[in-house]
Formats: sequence, structure tokens, C-alpha cells
Amino acid sequence: MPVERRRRRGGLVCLCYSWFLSVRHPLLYIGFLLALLSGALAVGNLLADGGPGAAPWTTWLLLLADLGTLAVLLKLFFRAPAASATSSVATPAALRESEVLSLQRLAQIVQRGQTSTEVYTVLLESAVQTVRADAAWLDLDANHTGTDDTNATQYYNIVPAQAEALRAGLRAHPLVEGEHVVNDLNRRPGFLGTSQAYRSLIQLPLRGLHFNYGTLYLLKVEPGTFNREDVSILQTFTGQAVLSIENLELMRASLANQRTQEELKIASQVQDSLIPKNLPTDNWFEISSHSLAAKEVGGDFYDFLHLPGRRLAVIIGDVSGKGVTAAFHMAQMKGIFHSLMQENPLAKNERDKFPVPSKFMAQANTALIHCLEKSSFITSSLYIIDYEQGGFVFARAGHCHTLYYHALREEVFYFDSAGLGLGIIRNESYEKHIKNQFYDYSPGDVMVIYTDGIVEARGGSGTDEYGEDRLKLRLEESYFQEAEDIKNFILDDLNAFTHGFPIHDDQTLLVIKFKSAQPLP
Amino acid sequence: MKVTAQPSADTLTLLLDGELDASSAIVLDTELAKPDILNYRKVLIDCAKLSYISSAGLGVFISHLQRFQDANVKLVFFNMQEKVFNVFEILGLDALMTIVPSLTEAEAA
Repeated sequence: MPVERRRRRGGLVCLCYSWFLSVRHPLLYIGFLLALLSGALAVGNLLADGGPGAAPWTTWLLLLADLGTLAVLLKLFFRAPAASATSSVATPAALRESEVLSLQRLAQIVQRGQTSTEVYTVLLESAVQTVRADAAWLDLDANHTGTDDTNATQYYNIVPAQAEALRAGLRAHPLVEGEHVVNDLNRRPGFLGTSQAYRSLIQLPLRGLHFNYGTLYLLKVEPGTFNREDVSILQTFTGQAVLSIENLELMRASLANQRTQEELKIASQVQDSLIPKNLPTDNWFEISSHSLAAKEVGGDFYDFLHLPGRRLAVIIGDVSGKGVTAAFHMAQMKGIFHSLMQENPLAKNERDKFPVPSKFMAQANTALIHCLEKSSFITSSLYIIDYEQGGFVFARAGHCHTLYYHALREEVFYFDSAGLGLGIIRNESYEKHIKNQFYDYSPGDVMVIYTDGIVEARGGSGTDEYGEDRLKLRLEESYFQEAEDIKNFILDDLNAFTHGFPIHDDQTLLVIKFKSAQPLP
Repeated sequence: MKVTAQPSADTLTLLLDGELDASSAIVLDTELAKPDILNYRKVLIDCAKLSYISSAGLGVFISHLQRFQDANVKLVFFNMQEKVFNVFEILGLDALMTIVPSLTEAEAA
């Protein structure tokens, strides 16, 4: 972390400075006192020897040297702090202050959610101020700038043509990649004999986690003015700038993600509107339904349609896969259902006005050929229940077996019929793989229609599936209840089974209970 | 999910080991999509260690079914666990694909 590094280094500078202050002054004091003492001794000697004229030449020499030392010490004592302030680099305290301010500005940009271009601008300004550069420019890598403007080279006190001339000189004899201080530019190959004004140069890459964002160049007219210390301070800035850029990128990504979430929420609402809310009601049956998608949108669907002559079409389906792709096909399947289940005015008799389930599946298969990707398929079952005949006909296109309670025989069983899923065979031969099955029902019979998200729900040890057997047992225990109660009984048991495990596939469950004959209202 | 290919003269045997779901389906798809697979007369799929197959897993076989048929390459499944066979059967694939109990029948098919 550049910030930590900066803090550590700042601490070190501070420590060195206080060490310098605490050590330099006592040394000066001691030297000063020693010089005074030896001077006094020398003068004492002179006086004791009976006046200046009688003194030996060595004493004179000693006094002279002593006065010289004293002068130097006095100068150091009073001028030393001022001397460092006049050097090219600011005093450590002043430096730390400007460094902190610059870093604060960089950090604030991120907090304000501003652009990466601004981060680069602040970086360039801070870098120039800190090392008191005469000119500077910042080359950004067009692929990784993260800027809004891809060609966003920034210049300080230098025209692009000048910078380009310098770039050309550097390109001719490239510096090894990384940080560089050049203190006599005009003696470098590529610049020999040129009249360009700058002698000192710092090259500093903006290193990110995965790539370089660009390179910062700082220039000074005077030769030999940049040092390693400048580079390490500047690295703190570039480190912070890169951190800011990467934070901005993360923010941008998270915003985009938020938008996607919002759109998924809308998709989820749209899909919810495709699922029938008002279940068909009549006095000869009860229907209860449940559906739950594993993700925001799902691939399960069911629908109903009243047909003339007290008939009801019930469809259930499951698009392979999950999520958005499945949801699109689910909507498509609903459209196919409603368009194929239209009355055919050319039909010769009443019963042919609507396609029988097997015919419907064959037509749906043809309709899906061109819009379903090769590895996708749809399983579906279509039931046409005829109250007047007291029976139903259905076709199973690869969908889960229908669970049934037969009231007269007091028996629960699965219908065992063959039938191929939709979209698996993409030609006319599909029709051979789908059959109708007719069944007469009695009042009190219960039909349970569901998708594999129910029977393949995971629970127990994590790899156990709910299974057809357990579903059958639950119907054996609840068939005498109302459709709604049977559904809830099954769902309670399913939830107990899957407790603590995430739902991994869409779940749909329909319970239809046939009732005793009622006169028409 | 691990897919091991065992080529012989005119037969390629693929051993599936693990769960074949959306994430592992890609591995199998890569194997089945290789152009030179159509040079074999038969492709045998050993399902002894295939413990689970999702709709995405079935989708892989379905998407290559026509291609194999067109090239006259016979696709035979064998050693299938009952649970996995049920998934093939519910979807109606047992009528469309050759699924046999053991290697002997697979080689004879």
C-alpha cells in the first residue's frame, strides 16, 4: 500500500530530522565551548608569558586556529537551518505538508466520484509542485487509462511539439523501463548536440496492479537537480493516483452492476406478469399453484386457457438452463401456447377446432426449431381437461411424469407415458415421438403437475434429491384435502427437506383437484 | 467432472467421471466437438462413474446428436446408473439414443 509506505517514510524523515536537531546542536555547543576554552587558555598563556611580545610563535598559531574554528562553528550554529531551506528540496516539514495536501486532494477526488482525468491533473500538479519542475507531461496508455478521453496526455508548461521532440529522443535510445533520473540530458545519446532546454529529467511509470497506466516525465532546466529522494516522493504520488484510478474503476463497475441488478428486477417483474395470477375457477375443479425462480428470472412456466365447451387447457414447461436465456424462451413458449391454442375456423367438427396435445407439441417443436440454440431444449406437458366428457387428454414432451391420485381405486401413481422433449429433434420426424394419452377422471381425483426443480431439489446430506417417491408419499397422505392445502403440505415438506440449501433450479407446482358434478350456475 | 478418452482402431471410448452440469458440460463439449471424432465408427460413452447429469449436460449430447448421425458415427452409452438413466428416459432420449447395460453390448451395438 503506497499510503502505508508513505507514512512509514514520512515517519523516518521526521525521526531523522529530530535526531539531526537533537544531535547537531549539542555537538556545536561542545565544539563552541571547547573552542572558547582553548582560546581562553591561549590568551591566558600569552598574558602569563608577559605580554604579546614575549609569547612563543606556537601560542599565536594556536590562537589563530582557534579563532578560525570559532568562526566556522558560529557560522554553522546560526546559519545551518537556513542553509537547508535554500536547497532545491523543501524542508522535511514543509515537504510533508505539501505531500499530505496533495495526497488529500487525490483522495478527495475519489470520494467525490469525479473522473480519472481529474486524478491525472492533480497528480501532474502535485508532482510539479513537489520537485519544483520547470515542465512536465504525463503520457497515458490509451488501453488502460480509464479516462473518459482516451487521448488524454497532460502537459505542464510545455507544448506538445516540445514533448514530442523529447519523446523522440528517448525513443531513439530508450531508458530501461521503470524509474529513471537523468541529470545531464544533453549528453545522452539521442540528445547529443540538440539545443533543447532541459538538462534534468525524471521518468516515472504509473504502475497499477495489472498494467502501467502511463508514464510521468518531469523536467528541469538546471542539470543535476533531481535525486533519488525526489523519485521516491513522486512514487508516493503515482501510487496514490493509481490507487485512485483503480478505485474509480471499481466504482464504475459497481454502478454498472447496480444498473444490471435494476434491469434484472424489471425483467423479474415482467416475467412475473407472464405467470397467471388469477387461476381459472369453475365449480368442477380446484387449482392451486406455486412457482419460485432460482435466480431473478427463470425458465419454468405454466398457463391456463378456457376453451369452449367447458374445457380447460393447462400447460406446464421447463426451459433447459436458468436465468435470462431461459426466461426469454419461457416467454416465447407462452406466446406459442396462446397462438396455437386459437380456434381453427376451417375445422370440420367441434373437437378439431383446437389442436390435440400431440399436435400442439409437434407444432411447437417446429416453431422452436429456429429460435432455440442447439444445446437448449424445452420439456412440457399439455393437458386438455373436458368436464362434459369427464376426462382429459395430455401429451408429455419429455416433462416430469404426472402424479395422480385415483379416488375410486384409492391409489397414487405416476403416469408412465413416452414423449420426447421439444427442440431435440429439429425436423418433421418429431411427431413420431409424441403421443396423446386419454384418461377418465372421477370426482376426488387429484393431479399433481410440477417441474424437476421440485423432485431434484437438494437436501439431506447435500447430494440427496427430494425425489418422486417422497412426492408420491406426500400425496398419499394429503389427497383428501383441498387443492391449496395439498400444495402447502407438499411445499412444507419440501422446504423442511431443503432447509439450509440454496434453491438451484426453478420450482413450479400445480395441484388440480376434480370435484363432484355441480349443476351449472 | 473428468473426461478420459480411450481411442482404439475404429472406436473412441469416453469415460465420464463425476457430475455433468453446466460448468463441466464445457469439458465434454470440447471433447465431442473435435473434428476428428467423426473419423471413428463408434463413440462409446462409459457412464459408470457419471453420478449426475443436468439439463446442460444433456444439452451437450443433444447438440451433437445430429452431427454424429450425419457422419454415420454411432453414439452408444453404457454402464449407466439408474438415476442417470431416469433423466434420459423422462426426456425421451432413451428412444433416440442407444443406451445399453454393459461394454459387451456397447461393442456389439
